[in-house]
Amino acid sequence: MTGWRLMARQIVRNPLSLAGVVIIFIFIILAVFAPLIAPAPAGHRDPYLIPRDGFSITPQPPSSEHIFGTTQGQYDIFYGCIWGARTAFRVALLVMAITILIGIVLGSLAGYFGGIIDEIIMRITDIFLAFPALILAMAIVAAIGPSMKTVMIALSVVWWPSYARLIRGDILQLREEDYVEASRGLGASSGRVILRHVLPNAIYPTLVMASLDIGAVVLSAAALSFLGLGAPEGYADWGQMTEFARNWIVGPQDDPLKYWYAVITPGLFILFFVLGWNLLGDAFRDIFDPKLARR
Amino acid sequence: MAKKLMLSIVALVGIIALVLTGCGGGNGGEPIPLKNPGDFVAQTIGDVDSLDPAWGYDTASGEQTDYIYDVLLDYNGESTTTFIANLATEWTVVDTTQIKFKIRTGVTFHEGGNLTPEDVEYSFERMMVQDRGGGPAWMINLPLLGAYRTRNWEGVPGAYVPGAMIDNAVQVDGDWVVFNFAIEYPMTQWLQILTQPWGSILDKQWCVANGEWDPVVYSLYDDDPETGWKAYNAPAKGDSYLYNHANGTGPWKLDIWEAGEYIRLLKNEAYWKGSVPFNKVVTQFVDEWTSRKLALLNGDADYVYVPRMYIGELLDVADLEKKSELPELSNDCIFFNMNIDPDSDLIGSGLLDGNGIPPDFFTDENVRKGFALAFDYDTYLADAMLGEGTMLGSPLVDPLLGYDPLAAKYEQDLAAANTSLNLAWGGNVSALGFKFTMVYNSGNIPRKTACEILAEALYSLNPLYQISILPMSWPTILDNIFTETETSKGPLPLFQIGWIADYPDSDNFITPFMHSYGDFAYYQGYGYPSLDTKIETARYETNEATRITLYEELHDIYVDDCPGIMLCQPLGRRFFTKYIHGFYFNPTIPGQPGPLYYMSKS
Amino acid sequence: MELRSYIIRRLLLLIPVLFGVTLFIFGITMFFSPTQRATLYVTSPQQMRDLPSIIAQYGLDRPFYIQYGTWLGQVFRGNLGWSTVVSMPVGRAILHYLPATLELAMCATPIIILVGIFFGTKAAAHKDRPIDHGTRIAAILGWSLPTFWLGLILMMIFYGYFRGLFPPMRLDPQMEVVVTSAGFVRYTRINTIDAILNLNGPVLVNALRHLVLPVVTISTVNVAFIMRLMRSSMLESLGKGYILTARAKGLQEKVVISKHARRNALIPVITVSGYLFAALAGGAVITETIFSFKGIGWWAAQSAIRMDIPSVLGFALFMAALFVLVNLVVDILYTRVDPRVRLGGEVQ
Repeated sequence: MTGWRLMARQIVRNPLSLAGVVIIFIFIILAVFAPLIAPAPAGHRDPYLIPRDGFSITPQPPSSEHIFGTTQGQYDIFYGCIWGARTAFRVALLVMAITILIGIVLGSLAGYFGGIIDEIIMRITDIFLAFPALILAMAIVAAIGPSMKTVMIALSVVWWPSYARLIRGDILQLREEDYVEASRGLGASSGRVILRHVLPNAIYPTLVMASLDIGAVVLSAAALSFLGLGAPEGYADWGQMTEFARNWIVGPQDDPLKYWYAVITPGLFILFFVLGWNLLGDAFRDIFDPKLARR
Repeated sequence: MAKKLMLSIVALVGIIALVLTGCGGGNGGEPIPLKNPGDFVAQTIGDVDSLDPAWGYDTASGEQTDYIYDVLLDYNGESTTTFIANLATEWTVVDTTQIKFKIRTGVTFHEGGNLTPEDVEYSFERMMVQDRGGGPAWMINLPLLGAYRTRNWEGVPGAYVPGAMIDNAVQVDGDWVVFNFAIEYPMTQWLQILTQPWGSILDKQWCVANGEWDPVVYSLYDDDPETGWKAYNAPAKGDSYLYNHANGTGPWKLDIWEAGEYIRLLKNEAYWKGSVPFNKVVTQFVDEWTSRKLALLNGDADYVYVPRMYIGELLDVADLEKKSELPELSNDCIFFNMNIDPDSDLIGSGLLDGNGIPPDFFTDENVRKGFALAFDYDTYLADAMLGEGTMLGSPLVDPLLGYDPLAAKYEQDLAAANTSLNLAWGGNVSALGFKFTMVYNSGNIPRKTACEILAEALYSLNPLYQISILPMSWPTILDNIFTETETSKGPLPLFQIGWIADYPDSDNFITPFMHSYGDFAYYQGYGYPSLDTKIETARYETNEATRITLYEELHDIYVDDCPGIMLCQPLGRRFFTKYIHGFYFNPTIPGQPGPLYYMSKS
Repeated sequence: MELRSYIIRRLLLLIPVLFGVTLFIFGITMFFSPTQRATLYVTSPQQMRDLPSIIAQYGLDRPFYIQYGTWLGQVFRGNLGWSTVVSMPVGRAILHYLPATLELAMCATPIIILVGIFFGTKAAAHKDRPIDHGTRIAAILGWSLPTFWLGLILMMIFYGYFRGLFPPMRLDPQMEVVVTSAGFVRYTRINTIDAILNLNGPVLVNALRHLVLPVVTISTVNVAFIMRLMRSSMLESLGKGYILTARAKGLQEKVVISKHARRNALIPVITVSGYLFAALAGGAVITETIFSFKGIGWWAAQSAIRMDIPSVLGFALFMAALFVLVNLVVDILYTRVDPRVRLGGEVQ
């Protein structure tokens, strides 16, 4: 077990993980100060909807008015990318929170009590894991109706089994540890034992997996939006903006790369956001336990 | 070792890059090569639903059916009012409930059989027998049997039309086939219905031999649901042999249909009309616009479906044959729901208190007219339709009887809109404002644009006029439009939907929008007896001049009543390579590529 | 534990999983009202008149357990239902679209594994040196790339600029004609294999050209994963006792790595390869959609979007079965590769 300080020092020392932290920090700034960096025009009601400068279909190249250009339908790309950072954080953190919570509850029950509870919970996770995640998420979103909220629900449903499994595994290991035995011998209730002793130690692998998964969650949410099953048109979401670009990848004959700005920019934001988290997660993995590199 | 590998990879990539830059630079108006000489290759979206003429009700199915089968009569070239003989050499209207057709001789089917009047009789009887749910058979059923469906006969659940009625509806008399109507039906509409793919003629012997309905074994006079004709009523799609097999008299015959991929037809060497211009007709189903565009520009396809928003990318290409301003038989409209479900989530507080709207909000004419006058039609036409459309005043479209491009229609007039809204509900609307939610089917950008235009226009009149916009999946929207409770209609305050013609008759457009039992008007709570009578009079009127007047009057009534914000009739385009000749436009032609038999490639 | 009984036991466990998956999916569909589900069969407003008869025909308004029971009954009789999105029976749809995905998986998996193993080994062998860092950065970058974005960019370059070099879909139209003509036997419907078996060069080249972009797209993202896995696995086995012994004995470093460390490092890679293949087979959804490379992922996606329930259920059955089978194969392979593992036991 490493102290937080030691961990922080290791992160800073490693250039790659340091880069990751810096990237994430930049995105945090973008997200927090979005109203200042990309202010919504007066009278615009929902800041998460990208303001439109007209209704015409063809994307416009970067100009002094629209720094990154506009997408199909004249949505400002710059605004969308900045506020998209907020959306990304919202989705990522909410989904991870829900997933970890469910995972902790079910994983603990399974790991600690074992027996039939364990069997049932494990079979349920089997069922969820037996189905390709993206398709399952698509089915859920299509059934309930596309929206950001549904995307978060669908992703949580798809993601929790891995965490339940992970935590269960850790608890199985830790259950046999001496201090746990001792605690029980002293008469502590199961709940207390779980909360005070088992969980804090099981947290670290979970952190590792979570930091690696945030990137995957954002990628999945973007994929869903790209397929039209996520954010509604005009929402400040990177995946949705890439969907707008889908039919403009080949421009007119004499200038095939004409609409590059609509395609490249939102994707770059996704790439760097995910990259930051992956760099950080990779560092976590190395710090906590080299053996955990095998998943 | 690793270094060497790295270097060699880099070198390889470099060489490849050099080679590639040499070929296909993709610049300038490159000429489109002529490929697949003698064949016609088309790329479009979607897929054929079924090759059974009695089943298919979608464009893709109709297109292929049109190539494979023949119908009794055709429109004359570009006209939608005059007919020419096809499989029927002549026809006679006997009286208001009987019409007979003389059937051509010397025509053979692809699989060898000869065309006889019995084949015609069989084709129509089979359609009535099969009558699949949601299918086109209602157009045959209504005149011949007097009802839309053969099931739930006369309102009795589980009851069927008497088989004898089906038998009597179509009879053979020597060289003639006689149709006996159960109701007095306008003959022009019947002729129009017969020109469409659901009027295709099948080979009775071949169908029966391949498991389709056998009138001898499964007799129309046998009421038993297992051994009689009812065994073939409302089948599952895959149960019908004709779903993916075809045997017609048309210019092309079915070679292979790879569902979801393509369908290929081969020339009918023995076509009764004479030589067929294309050896092969291949229709590929490609959903990605970029792929289709590339196919067209590379000459791999002779025709591709171009969604309206991308026409700009092809306008400057020299080697394309471009057809434009083709008036399509469809329209779109924003409907006012005059009897909203009080439990709806979309009407806010449900009261006229500035935080919602009451369920009968749109029953006040001033509200409706205010909305119609506030809408920015010019921006809608320019931006949502890219200018490719004609704004309408009523459901009637060009070239229907009674359509007049100069007739009254709404234009944006913000001052008048304001006046109207100030009068609405005794001044409470302008004083307190309103709030509700408007929906559009997610992914449909023109409809979303229409919502935004309306919302912005009203907001600019008075900041208390607040409309939120919500995307909804198409199935949910359909569910919410076509629904009702004991005392009200659906939950949507406004809904946008359009009509696509079944046949080019004014009645086919007016009835859904204005008759109290019309497909749309019913779910709006619009329509009243005097209007119904007028519509029915117009429907059966035989004198053309009188009919025109009646429909012009109906147009004016629509504008006056303002039950909806009429949007526009789309003007379509077609893009071919320059090697395709002979295209002419008739909105009734089922296939997008046009009258293929009269076209050629060189 | 005896091999045969182990296999039987594992296959029996398939049944509750299948029940669970299909029950869950069915449950999701109950979010839809009968009318909404009926709209799958409707293409125009005129047809809305017929909604009650459509609902009645497909039994969409019957209680949940009756609908599920009916479906189950049909499945036991071998009828998986009708896939409306592609107009053919579900069973046939699976067989029809599987070859395309298999082709993708077959081309991508060897590339992914070989490239991954190669660079992973190198990275481990030269730990903390430039190649290690380089590999690591490349891996993390690849892992962070959105698949759809990579696909779009590749399309931008190769459709816009180098027109015609690597086209979309599986074959050119002329080649489609060749492949469906009488002289060509479609043994597997996997175009590359069929072309080889039919000794047809042009078709083979054409099929390969159409495969390049989709394969590159899928591989890029997954190579990263294997690279990292191989690296850490190699590091771990390089630290093991017998390696030190081998080195002490004076064996060349190269031999040490290739003969001893690598074989043991391969164990987790085998596991992952199994999952990888199953994952690829189950749905390179985005890739297939973008490149119009219509495989089973594309079909499942269309079915999910349009709520074509029989298709989604059929796909669920197929994937669950595939997943369990792959698990089984992997576990058995384990016993062959690592003598410490016994069937049915836990891996150290």
